[in-house]
Amino acid sequence: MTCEQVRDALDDYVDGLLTEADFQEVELHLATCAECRREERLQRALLAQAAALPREVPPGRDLWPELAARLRGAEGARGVVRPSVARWVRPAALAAAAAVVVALFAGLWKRGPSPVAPASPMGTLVSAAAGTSPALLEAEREYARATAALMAALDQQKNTLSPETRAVLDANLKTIDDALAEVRAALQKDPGSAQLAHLLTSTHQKKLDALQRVVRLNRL
Amino acid sequence: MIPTLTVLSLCLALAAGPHGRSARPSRHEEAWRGLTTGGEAQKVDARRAASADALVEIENPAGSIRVVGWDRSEVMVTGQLGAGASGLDFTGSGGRIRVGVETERNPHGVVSSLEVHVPVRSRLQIESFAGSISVSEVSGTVKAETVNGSITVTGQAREIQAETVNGSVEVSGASKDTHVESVNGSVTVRGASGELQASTVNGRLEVSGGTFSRAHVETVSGSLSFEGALTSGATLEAETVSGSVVLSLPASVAADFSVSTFSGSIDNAFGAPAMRQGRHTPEKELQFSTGGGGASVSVHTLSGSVTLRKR
Repeated sequence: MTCEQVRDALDDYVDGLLTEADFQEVELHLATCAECRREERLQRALLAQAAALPREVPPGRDLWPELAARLRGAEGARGVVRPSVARWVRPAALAAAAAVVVALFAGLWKRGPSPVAPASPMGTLVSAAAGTSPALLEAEREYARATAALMAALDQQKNTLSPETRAVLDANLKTIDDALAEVRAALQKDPGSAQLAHLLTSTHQKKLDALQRVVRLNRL
Repeated sequence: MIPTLTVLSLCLALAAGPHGRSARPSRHEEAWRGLTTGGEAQKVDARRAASADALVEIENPAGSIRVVGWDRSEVMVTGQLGAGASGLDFTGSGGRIRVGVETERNPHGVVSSLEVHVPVRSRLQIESFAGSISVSEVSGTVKAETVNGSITVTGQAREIQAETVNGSVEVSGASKDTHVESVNGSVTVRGASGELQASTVNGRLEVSGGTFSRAHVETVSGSLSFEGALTSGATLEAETVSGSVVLSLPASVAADFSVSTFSGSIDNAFGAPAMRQGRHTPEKELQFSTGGGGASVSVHTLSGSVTLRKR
């Protein structure tokens, strides 16, 4: 291959798209041509830097095992409801949400001493969920922190998020909050209900899922 | 977007090096710069060779994306880039193709309409923010996500994942693994079988399908209806907060049922009436088996009514 042919093929070479025969020919040429090797290195540097651009918050630790364990402890005699659902539906989604929370907290923490101050939602939680188990309350706090962190991330994106979209999102979050309030009210009447505990966490999860999607896709 | 472009500019500067390079940019550079520039709407008509089961990634921040499967080994993009688009990133070949609208300002204000023809067995990954997405005649896999917009998938895709926030999701076809979600919109699944996960917050959720081995369907306030058969050993889980639930199952279904509602009603066509559980709460619970049991059916609501129907 000539230098020109090799440089024409470099895109596919660094992408791993060449046939075996072409790949070997390019390799052979690069072994003997310093100028083309330099071109190849530049291509790879370009791709590496582009690939390093943050498109998503990277995964952090999975909080689900802790949460599930706390819920198991809380629901004691009645057991955890629908473990199959927990295994199938929740871990991945919750892990992703938790990862976002951890990463966002880490990022926000570096900027100042008060990373997130979800005073209002936390206060509501504490009073509204009085009577529920400490484990469930702690789970609610986790969700409140996650929600607050995602809302903070959303606020930082306000320049690219249209007011209409934000209004639709807020309206739906309110629907979810209303549902959460209903479930909490029911839990006050029946604090030991594992079904209600599950409804509470799964409804929280829907809120996180929606927020995560908006935050992530808003970066397109 | 601005930081992204800034970093990309730095990347390009880095790639150019201190002594400059040939005038002809590489494909990767072209992709980052965009193939065209300017503030006016531009027509697009381009194609690239692709393998029969290529991974095709499509990104259009706003407007519409229409994907159609065809029996050619190439990807063709037609349509119009909105005013403010800096170009179309149409790169890759063979096993991986990328189609993306490039913008230099807030991408959500750049409304583009893309029609993309892909090999019928393609694996699609489609993302938008304020755009609708439709996919038809693709038998590979479909993953589609948007925030403001509806998603429609028809045809024989074997796996479908479709998620939106504000818009409806409609899937009809023979998917064996289906995951559909909306927040503010209806979700409709027709003809699917195998594994299903479907949810919405306040829209209506409707499933009418074949035989499921695992199905999880849930809403917050929207009504939920499920009509389908279950394999032996299948799991069907339905959950709402205030939405009503209607399950229509074959009269001969062999399943173990567990139904509960905190303050809703339970109407059971398979036999036993629901019993109130607590002396101080209105909670009702119902557990029974049909056909000797086998599949597991669980339904839980807070205040939504539950109806079990024979079909």
